[in-house]
Amino acid sequence: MPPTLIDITGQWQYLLAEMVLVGGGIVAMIVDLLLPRRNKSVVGYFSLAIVLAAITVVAVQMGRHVGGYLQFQYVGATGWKNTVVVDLFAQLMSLIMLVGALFVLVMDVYDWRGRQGYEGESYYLILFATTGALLMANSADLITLFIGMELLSLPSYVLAGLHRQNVKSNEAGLKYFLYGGLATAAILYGMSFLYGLSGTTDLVAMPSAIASQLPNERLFFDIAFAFLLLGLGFKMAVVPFHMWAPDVYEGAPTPVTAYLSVVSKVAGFAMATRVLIVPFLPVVAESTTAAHTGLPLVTILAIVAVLSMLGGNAAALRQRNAKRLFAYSSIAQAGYVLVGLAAMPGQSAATAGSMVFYLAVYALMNVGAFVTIEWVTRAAGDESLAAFAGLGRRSPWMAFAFTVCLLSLGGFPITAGFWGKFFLFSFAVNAQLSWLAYAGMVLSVISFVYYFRFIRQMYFVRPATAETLQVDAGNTVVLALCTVGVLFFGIVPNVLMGPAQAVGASFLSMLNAVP
Amino acid sequence: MNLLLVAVGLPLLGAVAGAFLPSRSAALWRWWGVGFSLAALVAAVLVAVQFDMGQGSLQMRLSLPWVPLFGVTFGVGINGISLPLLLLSAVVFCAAFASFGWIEERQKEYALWLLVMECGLLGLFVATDLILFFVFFEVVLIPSYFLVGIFGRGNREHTAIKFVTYTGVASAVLLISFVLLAFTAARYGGGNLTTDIPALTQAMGAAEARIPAGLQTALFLAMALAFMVKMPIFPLHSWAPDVYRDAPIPVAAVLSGVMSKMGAYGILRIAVPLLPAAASQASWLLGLLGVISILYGAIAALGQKDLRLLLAYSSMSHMGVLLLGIASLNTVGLQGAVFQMVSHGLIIPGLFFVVGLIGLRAQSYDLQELGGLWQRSPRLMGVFLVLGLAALGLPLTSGFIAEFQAFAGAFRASQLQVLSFIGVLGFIFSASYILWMVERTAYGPLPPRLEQASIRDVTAMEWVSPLVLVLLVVAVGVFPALVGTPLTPSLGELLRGLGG
Repeated sequence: MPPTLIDITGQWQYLLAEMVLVGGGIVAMIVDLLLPRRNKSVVGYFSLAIVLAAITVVAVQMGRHVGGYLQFQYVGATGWKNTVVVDLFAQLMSLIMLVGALFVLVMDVYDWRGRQGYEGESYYLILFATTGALLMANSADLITLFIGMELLSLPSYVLAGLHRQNVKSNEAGLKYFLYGGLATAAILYGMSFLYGLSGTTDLVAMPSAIASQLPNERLFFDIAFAFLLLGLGFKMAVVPFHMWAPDVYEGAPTPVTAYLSVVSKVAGFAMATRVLIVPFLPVVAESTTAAHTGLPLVTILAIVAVLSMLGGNAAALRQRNAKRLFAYSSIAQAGYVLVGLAAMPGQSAATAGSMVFYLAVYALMNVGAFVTIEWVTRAAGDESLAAFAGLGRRSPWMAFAFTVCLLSLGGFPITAGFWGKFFLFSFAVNAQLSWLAYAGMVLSVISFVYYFRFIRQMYFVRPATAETLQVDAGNTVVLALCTVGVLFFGIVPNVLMGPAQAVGASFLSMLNAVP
Repeated sequence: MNLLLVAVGLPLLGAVAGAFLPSRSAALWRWWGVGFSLAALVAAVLVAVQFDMGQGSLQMRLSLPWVPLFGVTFGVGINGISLPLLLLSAVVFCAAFASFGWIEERQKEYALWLLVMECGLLGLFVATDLILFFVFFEVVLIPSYFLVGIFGRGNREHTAIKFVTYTGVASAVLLISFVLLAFTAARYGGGNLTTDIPALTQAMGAAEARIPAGLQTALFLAMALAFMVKMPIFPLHSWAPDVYRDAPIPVAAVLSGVMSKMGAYGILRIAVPLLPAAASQASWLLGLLGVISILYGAIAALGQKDLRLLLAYSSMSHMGVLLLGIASLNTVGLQGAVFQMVSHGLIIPGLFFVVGLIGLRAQSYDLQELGGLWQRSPRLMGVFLVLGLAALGLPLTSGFIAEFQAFAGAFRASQLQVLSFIGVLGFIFSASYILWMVERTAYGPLPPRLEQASIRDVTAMEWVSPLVLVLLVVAVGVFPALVGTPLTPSLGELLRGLGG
């Protein structure tokens, strides 16, 4: 069945969400050109509607159990090549990223009130970046994956530097661009090894092609792994590839920081699962045999995880700027997810589910935290922790919501963050990585110190002003949704873990699918 | 509706419903707290009434699947070990709410956090699933942070975060050990993954011979040490003096009286039954740490000038007796351990209340600035004397049975005989510091500073909390069957699992 026309009931429906986003982005770009300066928020509301439409598409497709591969055929060649895959993993990751983008857009619309600048641009750049993010989760081919990554990265560089009058924002944009370019180069170089070894860019065909090449070419697989880890390490912001994150998070506009820490990060993990885990499963399997001579890949991932948890948490202790602190916090959070990634080769099927669970919860609690940070720091004109002084008296419900998000980030029970860590670390225990689970859990205690610093400011310190913090309706709804979600999944985790559990099965079908 | 869930749910209901009320009136919050904690106490008493004293296994069980992937259940149930502790917690929280007078501002937050903490503690003692147990274990921690950090004195914020991180490390180790235990049982036993304690006990019992002994010992030690942090036991105690000194008096009473039992209960209820072979191998270590705590706590208490620090170290010394009782792993010793949990759980909150009332009158907790209070406040000092004597184990008080049995059990365990001889020396020290403490406060001349101050005797409302605790201390001392009757069948069941 050759996909000659764009027929959205056939194979092309696997790209429907991306098409909605790109189409919406182009319309938003044109509308932005025509609108007068003071009405740019229309573009924002339009973009919100587009993201909502994309969420609907993914949700409906999930409800109808749509899934499969978008394939094409080279002229003159026999057999079909996969480019895009829609499986449960891709769908759940897409939903997480789309909900994240939706919340960020709400923050962004209000962030532009009373500011001059490239307002319309920020909305459609988010749409384009989100398209790339979705493509990273959906790719069944190295080239598609690379295009997705670039589609996410290029708008992100611009978004980080969008506050042109702010020196720090300029620095953030430039720094992100330079480091990001380096990471892209490393990933591309790693991919070239994968292609050279397996003779295909098709991720579905790759594992079996790799398995046949393995014993002779082990060295080159290790090189490919090293370069991919380097590049993806930058994208996921894990130690020791994290140096860009604190400056970029601090300098970028707060909604963009939220976007980078949630959507980009989730996309990075989706991509890492597709290229850093699945193609290398035969390589890891070979590592368990006595004869292998290569690098211990799982141990390397585990070490990067420990470094991230240690480095992120320890450096966050020293921060006084809330956004910068959260940069280090999300480095540590990425470390927890890496524990799941390291456990995946041993227990791929269900571990992928625990990673999806954690990323979904992480999106909620981190967006919730950034909404609060945005409002408190903007009202106080101060990004230090002292801006939160006495929030418990000034705005009790907002302080409560922020406290719930912080406790969840710290992994306390009754919040979803507890179950997230429980699932990830349990799978590490099951994958014979008990030491990593112990290390991760103990290192996460360091984070109590700095998360509780916010709580201390909010409840122990008297406020500088008595006036309540006025928050608009949109952000209130986002914050409430995040808080309720964190508590809801904390009390009945199975609502989310149930579907996420099945991710692994769909995801492994990629390994067994006949190309 | 399961009565246990009612008892655990009532304080939570009070906390959640209270959050929506305006915070104006201080009196409202006192009675709000007293009301909900009394209601929980009534529910706990009803549980005791319905409890079948002749049965050793879990009763009033309810078990719902929570996270099927890992076999996590939302399971509650009660046996003869947890029943006394459930009642104890409910009583101590009522007493804490009745003694509300110390809190001068932000009463709403105080009452609500204390109710959350009560929910956590009651829930912990009825949880029959490892993960649910852990959830309650942690639920207690967050209210403690707020209660110490907002309402404490001295360097309270530092104390609060020290408490959270110190015990947080222990919790982290505990959680992963629970998970590792569940996976180990499933791997070697071949059954489904489960964290339900009764099912896991069976699975571990069946698989015990196949699990490497080193893994069993490592798991047991990891869990036991994590639990010891909460008790606290030497050398894992350094958070406790700070917290007991800086926490507001009712919170110090609850933490020392009930929260410290979480750790002992965890060792007795989880670590020992699940890993019996490792427990009997490592019992000498528990005994050793217990005896060191007895002596270290007692000697350190002798050197304290601050009444609250004195109580903190005395508490540690009594926890040592408790651990020694557990380490004996025989009927007498384990009975002594449970009696010590109840006895210490009644005595130490009572002592904290009395010390708090002394501090309120003398504006000082420093023993060098106190004295002669018997002349002004005989009723208060009378309670103080009785509680002090109970703490050093006077017959006809609960302290006597508890410490006598704990030591008697330890003497019978062949590995612990020498250690318990050394531990008995602790009695000499505890007699000295307790008599010294009472003597320095109650007798002698009034210091000139207090001569002029108008020191009144206790009011009825102030007196009720310590008095109820004193009455219970005597009641358990005269009628030990109150605790012993439900306890014996359950301990029998536990010991059968130990092969004894």
